[in-house]
Amino acid sequence: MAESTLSNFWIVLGLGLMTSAGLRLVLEKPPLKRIFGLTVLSHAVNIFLLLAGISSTRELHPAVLSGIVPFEKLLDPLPQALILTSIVINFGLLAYLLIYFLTAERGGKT
Amino acid sequence: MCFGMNLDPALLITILLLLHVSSFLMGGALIFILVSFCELLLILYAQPYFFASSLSFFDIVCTPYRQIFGAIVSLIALSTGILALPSSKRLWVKGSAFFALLGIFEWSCLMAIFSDHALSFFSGWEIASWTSFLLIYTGFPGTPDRLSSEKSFSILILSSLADFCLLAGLILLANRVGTYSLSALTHTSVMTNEIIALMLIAAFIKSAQVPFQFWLPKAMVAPLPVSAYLHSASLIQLGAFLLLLFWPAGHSSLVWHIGITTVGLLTFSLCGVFSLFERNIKRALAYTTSSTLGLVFTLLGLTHERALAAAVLLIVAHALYKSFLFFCLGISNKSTDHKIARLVFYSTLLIVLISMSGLPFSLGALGKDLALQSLLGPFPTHAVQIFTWFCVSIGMVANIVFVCLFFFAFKRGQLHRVIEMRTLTSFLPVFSLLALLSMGLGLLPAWLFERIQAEIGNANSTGNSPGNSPEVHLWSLGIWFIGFALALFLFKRGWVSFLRKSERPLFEFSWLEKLHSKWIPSLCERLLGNTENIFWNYGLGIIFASLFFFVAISGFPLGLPLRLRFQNTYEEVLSLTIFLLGLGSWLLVFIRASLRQIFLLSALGLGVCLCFASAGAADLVLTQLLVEMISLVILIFSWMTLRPKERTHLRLGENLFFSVFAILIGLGIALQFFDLNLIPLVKLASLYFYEHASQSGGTNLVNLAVIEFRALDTLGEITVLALSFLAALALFERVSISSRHASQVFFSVSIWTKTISRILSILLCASALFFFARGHYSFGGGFVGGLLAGLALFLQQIVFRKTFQTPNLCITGICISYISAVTPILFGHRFFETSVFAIHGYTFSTSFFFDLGVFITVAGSGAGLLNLFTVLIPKRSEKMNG
Repeated sequence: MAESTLSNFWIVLGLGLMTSAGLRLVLEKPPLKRIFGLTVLSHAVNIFLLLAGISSTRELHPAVLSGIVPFEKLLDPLPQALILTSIVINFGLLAYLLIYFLTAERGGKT
Repeated sequence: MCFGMNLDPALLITILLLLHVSSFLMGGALIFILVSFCELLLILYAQPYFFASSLSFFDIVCTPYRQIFGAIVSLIALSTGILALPSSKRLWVKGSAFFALLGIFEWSCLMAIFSDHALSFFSGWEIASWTSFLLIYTGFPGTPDRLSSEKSFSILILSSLADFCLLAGLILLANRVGTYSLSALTHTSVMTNEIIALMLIAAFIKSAQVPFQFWLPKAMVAPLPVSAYLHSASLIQLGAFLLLLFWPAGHSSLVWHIGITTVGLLTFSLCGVFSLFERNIKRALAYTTSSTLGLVFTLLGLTHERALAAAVLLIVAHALYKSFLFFCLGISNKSTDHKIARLVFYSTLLIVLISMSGLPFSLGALGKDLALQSLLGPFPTHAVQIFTWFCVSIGMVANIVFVCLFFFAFKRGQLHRVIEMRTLTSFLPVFSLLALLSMGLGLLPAWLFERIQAEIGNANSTGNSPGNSPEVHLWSLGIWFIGFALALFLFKRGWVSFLRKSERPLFEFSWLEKLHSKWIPSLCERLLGNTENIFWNYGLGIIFASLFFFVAISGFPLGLPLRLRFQNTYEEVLSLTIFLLGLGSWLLVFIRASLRQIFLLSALGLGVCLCFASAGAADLVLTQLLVEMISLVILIFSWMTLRPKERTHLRLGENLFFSVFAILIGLGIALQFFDLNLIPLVKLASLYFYEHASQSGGTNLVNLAVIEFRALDTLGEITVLALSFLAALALFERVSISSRHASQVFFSVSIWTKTISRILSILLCASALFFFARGHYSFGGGFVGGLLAGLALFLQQIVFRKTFQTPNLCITGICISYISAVTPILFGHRFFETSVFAIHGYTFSTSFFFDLGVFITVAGSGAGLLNLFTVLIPKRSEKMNG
């Protein structure tokens, strides 16, 4: 448990603020703000995942030492792949929700 | 009643007191006479059937934890008697009967606790359960509630079942061992699974654990002193005492561990949640009792000494605080009219609630801390660990929510009261003393811990004093935040059944309201440059940015002045960026104009990019950058579509309650993840490391993870993207905006625009192909390339008014991906399996086709989505009409 070096106060505070701001925006009435809130929340979740990847690969793997893997600061690839998926799906969600909101507006108008 | 009229009141009270005390003592004496008689009978008539005739029914063993139990039983009995005294002032016969029953109950409990003979242990247990039933059934003089015969019958059946199981277990065990001496029985190693199961059923019923938890709330129709005594301190803890007694013997059995811990965890979480949905406050308190005993049981199911110590501590703390909470229910508003009495009462209530919720400097906190540290221990599998911590989190959150709600309700006088008797204020000090005792014990953690370790005896314990692992404290703090926020929410919405609904605000902090709705928003507006002042507009931003980049680029040791310990620069940048992102996202809450919010959101996205970059994740940076840019464009388009009224009237930061709620929940969650080792994440990275080089012939691990091994995930991802585009298209056509709008662009296209677009689209196409091709070996890949190609298509659409069949493109891409996933099955490979060919010295991997599918899908849906947004923007004339 002692090896997790990244556990410091500022990260936790920042992440807590981000999560809470996302939650706060989701609780608002206007739909646009709710969409913003979802985006902020997804950013927070992505960073959670990123930190999980950092804290779990402290020791270098033989694959890195033998030079097959060229990265200097190696991050666990699994959280990275998860984050990639998360980014894309959040983008799809954002676009769909925006269109939904806007067409509802215009549909009500005409 | 009438013959006492001409007597002196002081004399009357003395006589009454003497009468009650003597009936209490007589009750105790009755037990001893009864037991002696039984023993005599046994010796006379059943001598040949007993193994050890030398063992008497009255042999006593005094181990430390028996002393602790005995002390609790006598202490709470004493205070209960005092509590019951004023109500029985004018009831001579019924009052005396009550005190006699109380005496019988206490002495039988003590006999069960201290006796060394298995049969006298059993008879103590049996008499206690029957007496408790009588106490509940006859009711206290003057109470309207009586146990209905239906309810009492089910309770009676259940407690008889417990007694039968215990007797059967004890006799079976005694027959195997050949003695009735408890000190021998509890240390044997010949416990079979049947005996253990019988014992466990007895303990579960007695302590109201999960399958049998229903009897305790039913028994809550008993008068307050009885509830306070029987159902928080003595009867309910006999089950835990049984387990504690047989702890050394059950140690080696798997049934013992699994049974107790599973039932305990389930009770801890379920009863905690039930307590929040109970209409009657007494029944809710009964559920919290079950819940706490569930945690005690979980600890008793573990093997090491520290868990045992934690369990004993929790039992003591629980007995001390729970009896006071019952006492609170009897307090009416009138009896706290006196100023000092009110002060004493509320401070005691606060101490008790602190102890119950496990805040520091109380006995409860010590117990909970020790309990959590025992639960850190090694687990057989990840699943068990996740289950354990899930149950523990739920139970603790429910506990804290209950405590907060209880406090709020008392503060507002909103409890649905069940006043059966009015306790007099003069007896308050007795209970305050109990609470102070728990506080005092809690203030001496080191001393108490040493004492427990010395007395319970520890061969294996490493001598860790409580409070050694900070993760547990932070975890509990996070739990506290979440619980408090949930309690606020439930209270505000009036969703808790034992509270009456109220419209008044719970707390009134006018300065906080002002801070939230005036000062912070104006500061945020200034920070974003909404003034004429040139310093606020530019200077601040420049200073901020230069400081940031100075740290980021030069590697200035920022950690030193802030007293942080970083390993290297990128961690500094990472933590600084995350902190700034947190501040920035709250800025987003407080500023008003929505266009500014859109740009701030994009800035946050870029900050996230910086985080990814400082952690060394190149693929993530590329993807996030592109997605962020496209999101910005989309958001600006949608802003342009909005009517002018809505653009300005999206004000934020009005509701203080939501802000408090969000901050508590957010910080709570962040603290939960402060140390990720508490909650195991699946760490499979080494598998990828080992397999990537041999099987797929690529070097970009992230992309390989995406394309080769986690391709299913990517398949789902592009399907979602394509579906969102197609669904958006369908929505778009539903509101009958005809497609001829598509050709009419909202801005005029000049020759310069055309020229630049032509160059740009060539560049975009080239870079798309470049990133697509190198994705296998270095950062890039199908997704990034697809987004770039989508941008190029979009440029062609908007500037040169070309129409592409983007939905068809999208569907084609999806089809290619699915076919490339299924094809390996035809050749006898696994689903999605990649084959590597070497053609003329160049390696070629079949995952290329899948990547191609991703590329086409992303390009099609990206371009299509962007185009949809441009079409939605109303033309200027239309806007005028609207």
